[in-house]
Amino acid sequence: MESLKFALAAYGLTIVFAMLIACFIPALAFVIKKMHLDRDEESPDLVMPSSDSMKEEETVAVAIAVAHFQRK
Amino acid sequence: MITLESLKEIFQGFTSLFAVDPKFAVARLGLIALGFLLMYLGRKGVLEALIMIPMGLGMATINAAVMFFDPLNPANTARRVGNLFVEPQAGASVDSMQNAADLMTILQIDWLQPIYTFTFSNGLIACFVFMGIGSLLDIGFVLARPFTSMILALFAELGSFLTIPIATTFGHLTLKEAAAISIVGGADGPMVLFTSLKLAPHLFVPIAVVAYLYLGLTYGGYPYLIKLMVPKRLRSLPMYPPKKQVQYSAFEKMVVASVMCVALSFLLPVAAPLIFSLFFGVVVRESGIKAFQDFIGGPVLYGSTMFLGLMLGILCDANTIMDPKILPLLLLGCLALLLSGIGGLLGGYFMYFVSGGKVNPVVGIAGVSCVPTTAKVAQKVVSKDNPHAVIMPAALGANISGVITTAIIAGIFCSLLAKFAG
Repeated sequence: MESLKFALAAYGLTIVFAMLIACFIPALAFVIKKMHLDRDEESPDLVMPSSDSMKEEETVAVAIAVAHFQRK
Repeated sequence: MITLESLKEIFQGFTSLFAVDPKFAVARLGLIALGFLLMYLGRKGVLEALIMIPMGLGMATINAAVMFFDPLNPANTARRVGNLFVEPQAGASVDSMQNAADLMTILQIDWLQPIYTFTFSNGLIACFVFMGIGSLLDIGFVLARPFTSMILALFAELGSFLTIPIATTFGHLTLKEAAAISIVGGADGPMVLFTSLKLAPHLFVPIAVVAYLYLGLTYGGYPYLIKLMVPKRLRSLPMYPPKKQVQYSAFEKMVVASVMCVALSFLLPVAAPLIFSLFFGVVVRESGIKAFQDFIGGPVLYGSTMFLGLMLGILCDANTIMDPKILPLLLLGCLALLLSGIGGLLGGYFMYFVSGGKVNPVVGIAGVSCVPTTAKVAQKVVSKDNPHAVIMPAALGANISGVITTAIIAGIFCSLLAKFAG
């Protein structure tokens, strides 16, 4: 009898907690959506620039400059 | 020079078969065969290969590699049998000084003892597995249908509660022991390890073995339960995404996961290590830190799963399996998972009627939170009857909610029963 009471009490508590969380999730998501937290989001650039990537950037810059010059 | 006696001493794996009670010898041979069978079924895809292949090989080997050996007293000539793999009860005596000395000795002898002592018996490996699972979860599925997912998960916890009175009445277990075995119904391996460590550490090894053995079996058994309870007409019901579905960016999902982690830890500090591990995985996934994501979702998850399976197999030696308490635990674990499966499908029917026939009842089985196995099982069964019906997103939502409800139950069990004597 004691174990049945415990099981029912625990199930009741679980339902209350789970429903609270089910209400909390959309409310939280709504607030976060309204805050527009990611409007200025940039992809995290955690890679250190290497000599290769710098060379690539230089090549692109030169190509843009050449294209600009040719258009003129 | 080489006598029959010396050969007996060399080939102790065979000799030890005849030196112990015949029923242990039969159990050893049976467990070797079972180990090979689990490996075969894992390789064939009938059971979960990631757990079953290392577990099967571990089980077969540990029951072969038995020798006459007493690690704590090598001079003991009483023909005690043991192995060089692991000693689960090392350091479990009452005297703490003796404990430390025994444990240090065993750590220097048994090759898998460091893995057992420093990762398995303290729940670390369970947290690692949860981190890995978290890194594979997209909480967008829960955000799309929070109430449906949570209700399905609550129904699918039926076994975690109904098994408690059954275990105390028919299994003659204490309330703590009953709660520790009942949480197998939550079908969450790490949560089972954690709860049994907190509530019934003396039953930790058999409960862990029973839990993972059955979690592997759900893969093979639940499709039959679904076919038994859900007619083909309903199994082939297609599900469509909600009409007003809001799309969330990775950044928003990361914020939701972080706040949920803190909020759940506030509510249930007892389950905080597991809650943190799960949401840490989710946050890493959504943070865009690819190096961390690759590490947690790859080496951490698969390394932990491999050692978990191996450790479970190693713990399946005849002495553990022949423990008189293991048979009731085997039956109760099976019952808990069966009741949870039935509860999940009843939840599926409940949502089918509430939604006016828009929810496929099969999705309820995914509330049994064996992530992502039960979601895959649900989709596989549905696809057989209707290849165009996609229920995976809803199933994953219920699956993730199942993890949350099992964490809640673990927290409630551990908190309410912490000061309970029985």
